[in-house]
Amino acid sequence: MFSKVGSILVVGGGIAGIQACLDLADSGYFVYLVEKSAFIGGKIAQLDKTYPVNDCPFCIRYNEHMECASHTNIEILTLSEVRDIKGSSGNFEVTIAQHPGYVDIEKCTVCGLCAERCPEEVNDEFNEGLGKRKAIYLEYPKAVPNGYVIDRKNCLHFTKEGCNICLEVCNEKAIDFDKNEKDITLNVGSVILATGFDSVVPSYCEYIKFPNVITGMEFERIMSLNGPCGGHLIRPSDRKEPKNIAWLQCIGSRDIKHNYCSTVCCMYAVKQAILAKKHNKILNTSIFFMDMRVCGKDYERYYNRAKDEDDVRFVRSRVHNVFPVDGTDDLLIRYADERGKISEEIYDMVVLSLGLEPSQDAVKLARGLGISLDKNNFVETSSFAPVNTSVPGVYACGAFNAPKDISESITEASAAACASSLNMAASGAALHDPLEETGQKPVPAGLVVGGGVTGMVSCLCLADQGYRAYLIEKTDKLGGHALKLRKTFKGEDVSSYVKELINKVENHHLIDVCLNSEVKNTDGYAGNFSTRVAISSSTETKNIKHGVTIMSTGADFLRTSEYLYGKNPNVLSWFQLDKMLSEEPNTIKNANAWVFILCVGSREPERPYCSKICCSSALRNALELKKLNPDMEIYVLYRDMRTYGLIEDLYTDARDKGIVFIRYKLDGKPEVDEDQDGRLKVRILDNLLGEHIIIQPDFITLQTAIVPGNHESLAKLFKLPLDQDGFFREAHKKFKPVEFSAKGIYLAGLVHCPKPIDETISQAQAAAVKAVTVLSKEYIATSNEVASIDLKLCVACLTCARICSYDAIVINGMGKPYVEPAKCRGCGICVVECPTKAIILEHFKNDPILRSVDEAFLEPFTEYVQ
Amino acid sequence: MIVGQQKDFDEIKKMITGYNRLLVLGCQTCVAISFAGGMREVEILASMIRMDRKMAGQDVEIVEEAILRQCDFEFLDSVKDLVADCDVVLSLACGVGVQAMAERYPDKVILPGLNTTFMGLTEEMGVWSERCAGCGDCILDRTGGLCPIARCSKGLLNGPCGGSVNGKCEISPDVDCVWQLIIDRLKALNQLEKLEEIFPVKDWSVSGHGGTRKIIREDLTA
Repeated sequence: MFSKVGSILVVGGGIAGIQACLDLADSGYFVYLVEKSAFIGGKIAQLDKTYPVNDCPFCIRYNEHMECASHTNIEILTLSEVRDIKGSSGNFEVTIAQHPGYVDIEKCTVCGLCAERCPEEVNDEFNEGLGKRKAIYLEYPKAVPNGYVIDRKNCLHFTKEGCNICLEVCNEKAIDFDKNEKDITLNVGSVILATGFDSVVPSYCEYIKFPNVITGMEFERIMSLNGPCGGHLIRPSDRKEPKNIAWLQCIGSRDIKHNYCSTVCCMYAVKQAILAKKHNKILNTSIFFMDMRVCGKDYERYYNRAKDEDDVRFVRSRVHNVFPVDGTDDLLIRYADERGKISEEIYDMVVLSLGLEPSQDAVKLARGLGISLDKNNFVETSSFAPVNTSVPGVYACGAFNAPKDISESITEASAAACASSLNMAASGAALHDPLEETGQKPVPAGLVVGGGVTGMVSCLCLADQGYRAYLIEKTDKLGGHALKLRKTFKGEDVSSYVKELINKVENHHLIDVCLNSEVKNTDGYAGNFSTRVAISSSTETKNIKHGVTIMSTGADFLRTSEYLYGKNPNVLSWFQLDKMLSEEPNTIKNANAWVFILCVGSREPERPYCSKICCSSALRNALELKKLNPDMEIYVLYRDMRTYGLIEDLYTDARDKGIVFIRYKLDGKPEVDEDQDGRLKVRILDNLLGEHIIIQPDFITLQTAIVPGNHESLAKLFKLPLDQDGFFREAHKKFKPVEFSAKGIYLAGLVHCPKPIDETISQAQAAAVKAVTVLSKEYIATSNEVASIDLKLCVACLTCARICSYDAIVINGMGKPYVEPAKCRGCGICVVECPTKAIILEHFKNDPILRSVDEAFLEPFTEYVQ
Repeated sequence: MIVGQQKDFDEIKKMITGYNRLLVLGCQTCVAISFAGGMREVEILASMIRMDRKMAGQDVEIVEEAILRQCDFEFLDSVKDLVADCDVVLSLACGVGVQAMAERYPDKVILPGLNTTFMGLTEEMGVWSERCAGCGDCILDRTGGLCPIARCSKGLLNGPCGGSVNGKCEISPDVDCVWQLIIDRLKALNQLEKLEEIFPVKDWSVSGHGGTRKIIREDLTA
């Protein structure tokens, strides 16, 4: 489809690597995907289900795996390792060692005879050692590339010399034991590291040796239908159904060696408990945790559901130890609750929620490249360039940057694709050669709605790749809420970053900034939109033609009246404190006591989500106050301390500096009063003491919730769905975080859900690269699977036009319906509803479908429905 | 348009008892639009009959067809052969279509599969409501374009009555009081004075009370 000019190397064939490959390949670059194992897909195929949707991840991603394998712009190198990378940005020379799999994939028909006859049985890594496989194997039936491989270190041909059984039984003559390791040299312009994570049981967990203590991933395999237990929830020692299961959180996270939070474990334990209950309704499930860190879109709701509907028990404690119960395979758990009371409970099975570490091979590779890593060996990145490593031209995404879940890894993968394609554009690598025009060209421009950091980053990504960007901002200046922010959790200066960003946007010759502007209406389809924008200072409107749209209208913050806010001048919002810290630190320096109240308006019944940024912003400001005046008493009143990922550092630092943390519950909120002189008084139940305490602070800072902006009218205009909290609803919560189900429209930043600036920026980049996959096409792609109407049968009842979810059917001047092929998504609803049966969906006509139904049933089905 | 509603399946079953060769004939105009008698409903109904007969261990042969309008003789001729081959025609047209078929094919039994319900419109997908009662003497000029004969439960000409509560009719809180709507609309049009005019006794002779109606246009007849 495209020429091979300008190639990029992606290291790691997990979900992030595959996503980066597809985005780059669809933007016109040639990509090499290097994967050390025999199959791509990474850990995702091992997961039984994903939170918070409980979908089968592999079923949903299988298309992407296949697309990656068949894309003309992608070359997959499995069983391959990067030995060396030399050179610099724009011109890297990469040496790769490719180990032989001894099976010719072109010839292998996946008949399975070789594995059936292979005499050597070994532990199956795909099933975490809980099952067996042969020395010649296919990881799982739909593994990509779809062909068997020989595992040399276990194959009897190599270990014992002489076994040739598979060679003899293979009808296709696909097996060749004489293959050797191959050295491959590639020249690439950019490198993306998507090497994922390892999960290692820490040495203090000696109890992992008990048979019924298993890891989270082992539990996934046990529950999985294609796992070693066939989807029956049984425990390893005696294959009996457990009656109670305990999950132990923070194993290998938030300890002395790993002073970070692995981010994903809380949610996966909650998910596993919910799903385990589906296997066995009377099962007792207990999750032993320190803080429940469920900060992502709809995660809080999922957690509430586990507590309230699925009856999952949550025990706030860190488990000391696990002991065997004599004479049984059961396990005794000893733990201390919040008040320090020691309790013991017996469980049939214990699941360790193992943390995430960077993969060791990746660390070695990164060190060799001279990439700066942090003390935990994660890639050091800036919040403002979240996928850039310290080496120009080398990008990193996913769990190598910090522990993160699937949707953020996918977002970062797209962001890394965006950053590396910008790098390629800058280093002069040409995109695809123009093909002969065989259709309508996409309009080479993007409309970006919302001029905050997100919108500006997206605009720059588009403009730096040569596309025009129209930035629509309703206020009179760019920058949005970021203008109020001072620092990121890493301490980087936000205001100077925003200033520089505004400067770049305003001076870019391909960016048209429309201030005081509002979208009035919009129409069209991916590649060809037309939008009318009104500028408040004039009566004229502007008509903009564009190929893609990015929604980046941000969010708002809650105006609260709780805790005397607005009544007592010393009760501040977080951004008021930010302002004071930068403009008048001396006025607050001499305060004796300061209280931070977290979750103001968040995680409440009417707003059941976490605002994600409040914990880190409170801690950063608290530490800053401590620096101004080390004698200041600082109290942080919180519900769960959600310093996920690398933010955990702030929490450790804050405790070291003597900041006091007091946990409160939703039904025991702190009470704030003032005396007649306006002096503040906070009364709160201290869980450690079991008694109420009173604090008399000089100031109180409220970490108020992030609330969705007023999106209803925009949502209606663009025909985009909102979720139940009022944020925009993306196409898929897990796998399509920056896309809408309508093609050509993308979302990024706080319109999606609350998130910090680094995640906002990677979403902005991800949305831009998705946009480029549309803009870079030679002509607007239309699917063949579109509805077509037989006008002889049509009676113009308008049903199809009324029910089409994508507005693909319009009534033309003849009073008859017309299907706009580029807008039609081939959903088939109109076909089913047409009262005169005048509509067919190409490729899904009645006859062939009914014929195949006939073949499926022994007696002809058409006898009933002709 | 004419809005129809398919009869209960049990009623249809009873009607076709004893007939083994059926022509289920749809009409692709008004009743297709109201999802009662178009090709789609023909196919669904025919499948239901086949399944029902199969379960009862009885044979049936069904031909499915739909024509553009069953109320025009010319269109009826196109199914001449199909009609000849069947024992009975189950028509999914409105009452006009069923009668047209009976008139065109005097030797054949023609059965109605629908109840012809009213003259109305599609409010939204799946919702139809009555708008016109065909009274033969239109008064919409005086009622803000909303018909009290078709839409007032009592057919009042000088409404509203005392049963209008919060804009709803006393028969059900789901039914709008059309007189409330008339007043609202006249007010918006600045024509509220029209409400002051008292309607005299209406001539119902043209509404069918004076016998079957027929129109003959000398200028158009041969």
